[in-house]
Amino acid sequence: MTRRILIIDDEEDIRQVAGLSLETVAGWEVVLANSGKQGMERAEQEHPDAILLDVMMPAMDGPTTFLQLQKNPKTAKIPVILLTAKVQGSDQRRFAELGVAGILFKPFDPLTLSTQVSQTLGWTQIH
Amino acid sequence: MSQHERLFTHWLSGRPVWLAMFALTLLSTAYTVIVMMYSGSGLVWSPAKPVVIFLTWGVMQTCFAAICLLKLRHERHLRSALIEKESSETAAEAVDAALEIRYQDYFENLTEMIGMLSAEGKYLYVNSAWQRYFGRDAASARTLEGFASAFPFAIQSQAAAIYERALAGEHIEQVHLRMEDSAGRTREMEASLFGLREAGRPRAVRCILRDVTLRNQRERRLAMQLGVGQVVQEASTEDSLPRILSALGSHLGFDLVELWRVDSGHQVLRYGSMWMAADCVLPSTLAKSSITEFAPGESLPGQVWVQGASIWVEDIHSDVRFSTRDGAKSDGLITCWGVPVRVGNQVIAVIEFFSRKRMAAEVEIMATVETVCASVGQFLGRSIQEKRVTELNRQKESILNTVADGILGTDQHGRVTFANPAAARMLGTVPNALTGRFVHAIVHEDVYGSPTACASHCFIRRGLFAKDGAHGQDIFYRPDGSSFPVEFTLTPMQIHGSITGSVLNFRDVSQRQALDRMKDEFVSTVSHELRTPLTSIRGSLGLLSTGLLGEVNEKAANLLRIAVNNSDRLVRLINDILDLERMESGRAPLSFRPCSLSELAQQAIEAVTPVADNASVKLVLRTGPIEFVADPDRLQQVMTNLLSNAIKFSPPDSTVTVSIEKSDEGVSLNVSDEGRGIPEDKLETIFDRFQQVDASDSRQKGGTGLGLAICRTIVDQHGGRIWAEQNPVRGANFRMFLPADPQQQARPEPAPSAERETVLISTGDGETRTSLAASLRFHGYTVIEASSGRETLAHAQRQAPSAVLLDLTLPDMSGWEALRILKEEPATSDVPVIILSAHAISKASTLGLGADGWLQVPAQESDLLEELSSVLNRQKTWAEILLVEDDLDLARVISATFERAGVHVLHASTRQAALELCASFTPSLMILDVGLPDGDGYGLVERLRHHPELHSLPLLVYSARDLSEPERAQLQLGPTNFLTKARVQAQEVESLVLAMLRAPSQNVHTSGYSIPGIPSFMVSHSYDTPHTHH
Repeated sequence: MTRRILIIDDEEDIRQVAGLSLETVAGWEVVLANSGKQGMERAEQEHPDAILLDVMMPAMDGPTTFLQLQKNPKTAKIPVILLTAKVQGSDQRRFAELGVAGILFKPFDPLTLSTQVSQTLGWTQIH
Repeated sequence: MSQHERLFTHWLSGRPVWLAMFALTLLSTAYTVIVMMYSGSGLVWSPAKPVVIFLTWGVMQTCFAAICLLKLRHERHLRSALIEKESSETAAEAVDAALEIRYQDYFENLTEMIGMLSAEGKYLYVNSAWQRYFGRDAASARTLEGFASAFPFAIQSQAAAIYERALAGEHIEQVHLRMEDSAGRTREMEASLFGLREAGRPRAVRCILRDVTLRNQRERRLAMQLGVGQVVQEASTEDSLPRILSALGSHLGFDLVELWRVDSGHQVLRYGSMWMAADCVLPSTLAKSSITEFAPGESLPGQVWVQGASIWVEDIHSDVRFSTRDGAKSDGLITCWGVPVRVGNQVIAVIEFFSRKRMAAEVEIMATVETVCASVGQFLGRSIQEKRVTELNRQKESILNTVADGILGTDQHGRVTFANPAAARMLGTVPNALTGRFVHAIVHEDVYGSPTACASHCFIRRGLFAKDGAHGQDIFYRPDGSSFPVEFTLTPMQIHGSITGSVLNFRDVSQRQALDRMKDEFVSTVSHELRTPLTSIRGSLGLLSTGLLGEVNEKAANLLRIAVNNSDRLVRLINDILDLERMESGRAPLSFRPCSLSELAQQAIEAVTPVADNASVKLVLRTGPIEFVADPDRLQQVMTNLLSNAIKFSPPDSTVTVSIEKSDEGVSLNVSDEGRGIPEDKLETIFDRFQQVDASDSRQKGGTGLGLAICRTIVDQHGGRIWAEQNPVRGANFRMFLPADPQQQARPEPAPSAERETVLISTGDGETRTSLAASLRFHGYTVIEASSGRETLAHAQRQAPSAVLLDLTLPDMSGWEALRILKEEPATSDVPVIILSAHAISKASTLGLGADGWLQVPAQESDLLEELSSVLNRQKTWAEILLVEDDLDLARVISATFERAGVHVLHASTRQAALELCASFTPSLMILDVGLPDGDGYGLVERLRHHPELHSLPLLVYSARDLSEPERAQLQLGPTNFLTKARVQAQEVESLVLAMLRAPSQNVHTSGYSIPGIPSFMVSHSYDTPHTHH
């Protein structure tokens, strides 16, 4: 089954690399958004199966975006995984208490990114 | 003889009377003869005539005889009187003589001086005392020309004056004279004179002189003692010294008194104070006094000081000790007396008395003054003490006022008795506004409206009554609602084992926390900034190297591989640097908990197995189950590091062995490989940063150069050692030793009450779950584990745990969500939930959102147990009682007894405290000790009669003695029972109280009723509600 993943990150390069990784390695469909605001729009429109959400973004940061997504009934059910370079313990605990589905760290291994996403969300892999 | 007789006889004694009588006799006889003769001559003789004649003659003769007789009698009387007079005069003379002998004897032995003077002023008689005193014998005295001439010239006019007055008839009593005796000493005399008068003219003067010198001196001394004593009593400051010296000097008759104080530090005597008689002028002495100092033994004061005894110098001019005191000599001072003033055995001052007149040492004066000096010593000693105390107080105050930490002192009830300025400032108020209020009301005010809400969470309530106090971090609130984070220490004050109050010491750590946060943010930001571009690099390279995006030739693939590896290495380097930096700055403190080293090793091995497989290296673990208190994450980091190093340096098909051993001293870990080994000179340096054995390897193999440095830091923080050894055969051994710290290794005793309590641990974090479960099981709790919200709810409903530990980070739902559901479901709403969270900040909101407890993770075992048991105990509380008892030890015993039975005890030790508690709480019963310090139990009961809810409060009164009926009548509210202290034990009180609590509306009659555990004779009486009486 092909999954559709929405990647929200303000860094162009990372969007590309991550997107390419998921597409080439897992064959998933990828939707990109460059900000929290755009991400929310895309989420509403595209109904992704999961969202990879960057934390450090100007304007609306990851956690705020997440909370907004939760508030919107159309997007509240979409599982969100934080993809972040903020790896410190204190940061981690803070994110965990938000209630996101999981946290993955940057830099990631492009070959295993999709596997990690699947594991986190409890998807069985078929590829 | 009567007066008339006397007069008559006196008249009769005159001569003319005799003549008259004689004539009368003659005449009468002649007449009779004539008459008889003429009776024959013609005259008619009748018998009557001779009778008449005879009668007449008879009468006349009788008269005559009578007169004669009277005369005779008179004469005889006179004669006898004369004889009497003569004999009495002789007798009188004899008596006089005898008396005089006796008087003389008596006068001679008198100490009074007695003199008899004639009216002309001649000394007729002087007794021996007089003679001795005036230095004259009797004969010499009689040669004196007048009374006054015996006296010294100076008072002669005075003496003469009183003599004249005495002569004039005035009674002179105790006139005061002052003169020098023959030895030249000044004496004070009292003269009493009285003149003997005869026939209106002075005959003699008797003079009595008393030497009252001694008496006067004694009186003065007493007055002086009283005077000094009074001053010493009243005076508290040094300003009273002159007054004391004045009292001494004036009463003793000295002209100058100087006080010299001992300066023991410099070993000199320095001028202290002085007093001078009003009429004295001593220019030279005084000029020098204030600058004079005496060394030990120097001059009189110096010697008095050294010898510790008083010294009397009658004439300073001839005394060598005064050779330097020219001032004193030139001012005319003659006698000097030095007295030591002591406190205990130490001389602290010397008093010098000077007199312009020569005074001889008198033992009595000296003894009296020395006694007085003891009081003076006490006074001086006291003022020294007081000065020291004032100084210490000042120091203490200035310390308390200056210190930056807030300090609050409380009494045993938790009411603030002292607040320093820093505390008031931090709390946004003034010290006066803090004193008298309950401390936890002050610091937790805004959040927890009334004191009850912070209940057992409140470290203050726990700390106030725990012998060890409390310390840690908390949040204090100000009256305006703002808050600030604090680090605090609450220490109880104990006197003889009972808690008399406490000291709360706190510091505003918001700045430090802000700083820490800033540093953390910086590190986090740096890390983030470094990692972000690396992500792109790593990702791109990785993708390229897969070949999925296009054919890559071998060389290109190689280069790509190199690039990927190095970007990985860069990431690891960033991690290590930041890790090391955080550990060493203390911002990543270790969290010690009991862990299984064998399991950690197992996990580490699992983590590196892929790498080992790749390198065809075999991994072997030799260990048994080993429990140790350490930071498991960090230890695992060390193990993983050592393992990956070992693998890196192992040739293919070799074995890396991990062995762990435990001994009494600690645990040892050994990781050995069969690789190249480490040259001896590098065994230490490899633990330095960025050091390698040689150019070839570790970096080649992807190491960061920091791994061992990090390992060492971690092991150092555990108090252990890590080092490398050469394997005798080949390869290297990396060894680690962690000492068993007895304090750390000690686990709290399993609490008996934990038995059979079930606790549901719910957390997505396996690590935490395992560790918490292990701790709780060790202490006898039955543990159910859940790793998701769904599991949690299911278990909670089915298995009815006694408590739930709920982590906020659940994988499938938010912890808050789970909490809400638990509290809404009737099956689980009563189960207390303790939230596990990483932050202290959320504490307030945690409790506000309905949780029953809160625990910060990673948690210390002791905190876990404490929070759990307090939450569980609270659940079991089914009643709240008020204990009014001023004996704290007894109160503690009673409280503990009831808490165990699930009854919460509010304790007040004074009436006032009890009333305050009644204002906030509504207890179900009150235990009252009638003898309270601030107003007895009667007053309290009286006040409570007007309380809307508590007027019918069940009451258990106990008193030291049996109470009378009227006393008991005063002490009832609702159903009331009375116990006498000496006759009951705590268990009996408990039984009675529990019985009363269980049947509050019934009277617990004790007479004729049996209450389990209480023999009826021990419980004296009970009353119904006020309306019915027995």
